[in-house]
Amino acid sequence: MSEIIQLQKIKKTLTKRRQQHTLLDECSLSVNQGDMLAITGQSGIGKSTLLNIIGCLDFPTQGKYLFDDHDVTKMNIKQRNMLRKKHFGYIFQQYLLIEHLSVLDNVALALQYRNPRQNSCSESKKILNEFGLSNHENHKPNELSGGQQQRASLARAIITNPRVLLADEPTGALDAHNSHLMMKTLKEINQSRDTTIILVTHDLEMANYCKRTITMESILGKAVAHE
Amino acid sequence: MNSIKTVLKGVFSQKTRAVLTGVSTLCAAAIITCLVAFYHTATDFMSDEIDRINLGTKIHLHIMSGEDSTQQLTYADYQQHIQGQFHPYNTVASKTQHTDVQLNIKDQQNGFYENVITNAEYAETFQIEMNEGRFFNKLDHPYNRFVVIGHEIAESLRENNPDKPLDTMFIGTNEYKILGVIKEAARGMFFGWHRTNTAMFTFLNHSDGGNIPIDQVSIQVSNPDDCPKISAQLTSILSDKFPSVRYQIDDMGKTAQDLKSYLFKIRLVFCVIGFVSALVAGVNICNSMFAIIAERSKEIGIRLAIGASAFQVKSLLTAETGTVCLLSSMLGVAVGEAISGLLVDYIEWEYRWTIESSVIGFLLINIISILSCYIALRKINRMNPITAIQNTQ
Repeated sequence: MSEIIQLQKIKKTLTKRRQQHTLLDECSLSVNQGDMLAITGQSGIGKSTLLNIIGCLDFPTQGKYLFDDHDVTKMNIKQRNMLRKKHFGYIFQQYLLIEHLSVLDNVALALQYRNPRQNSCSESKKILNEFGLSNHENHKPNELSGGQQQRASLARAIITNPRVLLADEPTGALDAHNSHLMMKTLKEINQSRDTTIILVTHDLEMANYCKRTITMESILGKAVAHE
Repeated sequence: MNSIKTVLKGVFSQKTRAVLTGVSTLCAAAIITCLVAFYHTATDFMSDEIDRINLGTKIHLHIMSGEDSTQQLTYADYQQHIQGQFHPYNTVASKTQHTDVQLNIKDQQNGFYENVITNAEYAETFQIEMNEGRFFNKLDHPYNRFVVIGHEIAESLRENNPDKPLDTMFIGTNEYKILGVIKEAARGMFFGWHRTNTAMFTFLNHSDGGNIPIDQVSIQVSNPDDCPKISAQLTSILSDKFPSVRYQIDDMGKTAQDLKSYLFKIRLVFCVIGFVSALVAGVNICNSMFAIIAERSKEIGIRLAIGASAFQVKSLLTAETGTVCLLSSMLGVAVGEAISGLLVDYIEWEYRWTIESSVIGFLLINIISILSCYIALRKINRMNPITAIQNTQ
């Protein structure tokens, strides 16, 4: 299996009121194509920050990030946006669907941004049908249950067929039943599409669905990741 | 089609914001359109008058009526001392009287007039088409003697000859063709115009004998720069030859200059008000855009996270604001035109509608809104998706 993501001594600091806060300190990690990786650890350790850096939603202060052997840290905003658009899909804990758009429009939006000429409507309907949401395609997100919203969010993330799917606490707002359903779906996607999945969770039961688990711990004030 | 749908969805999702932006744009467009329309109505009228004056700049010498002959200037005096002194410019002497037409008829002035003019109300009453224009000034028209009869007198004169054509008038036993009507808009330009409704007549006379006292001399000075020189020359002749005559010299060239200066000031005031209105509108739209970005920060972050480029997000928000501004500015232009029409009507000016006011109002407000959008949306270029999402979470 080829190495798709390589993080070398990644550091992220934030300056607030002239005081520097370290969110992530010298964190190193490598992920192979087709991996399903869970990042666990206590709250505030920097799991989400790490995930955001991997997904080019945020950028590191120091260190090296290689995606497919391309140095992401040397890319400009435009290049990072292109990389994000082409290779990454996201699921957030709070689903983050656009409230005034229907479920169908939300899912189609990702496809429209990737390829404006593609017929996003039929593709979106197909994927919503796969996720059991075909009866709700014209509903607004606030008319759906949490589980349905998270499935819609997952449909939006995978409709572009990303190489890497990033999930930040995907089961955080779901009940036990829906959480297991979500994890099973993610595992299925990983196996059937060979999509690399990196998810952040503090629930070890959910982490057990993954092939690998990385735990982040604070050692001497530094967030260290180990398997 | 999809893009239009997306834009409209965005507009309707932010109804309150869209209404507020729309109302402010509508008001700004209405103010600017109204200003431009007013600017035209007010300044075109003056500008035309300046052009008319400049076309044949004149100096008018008005002689005040005196009690004895030493305080009067006769036609013979004029011929001897004034006529031909201002070469290459022509001079004309005239006598103007304001009195009652019917009295003059009784005074057996039949056959004295060469032409008859009435005012616009006459043509309106009988619904006939007649020439419109200025007929008072002899230098503009070669008529020696003409009478202006107000419509009330004109209508009463017609009653005596109801079968005659409507464009003719009988004074005494003489039939005259009515030369034309004086436009209502020209009313304010003539002293004593209000008297034309009941009675007013003016006759200009330069060939009825040397002993007739004259009360006006006009010198047609085509080059405005020569006006001060001509005025000085005229003053010098009057002080040397007719020291007891009281007079007043009206320099129309100077009047045109004064009008020009007023016109410039009026234009400046209009431009300043227009600029301030445009600035206020721009700041308002810009402020509205900043508020939209702050309010929709989460949505912008989500769009960026799922693959939209900053350009795509900016285009969407610009299209949404553009749609609101486009529709409200169209409405604003219509409102502005209506308000300016009503106001001009109320203050009894002549409303001069031009496409220019609508085009300027519409274009200016849309350019301002797009520029304001652009300034406000530059923020998105530097926006980090995750920060944008977290800001509103």
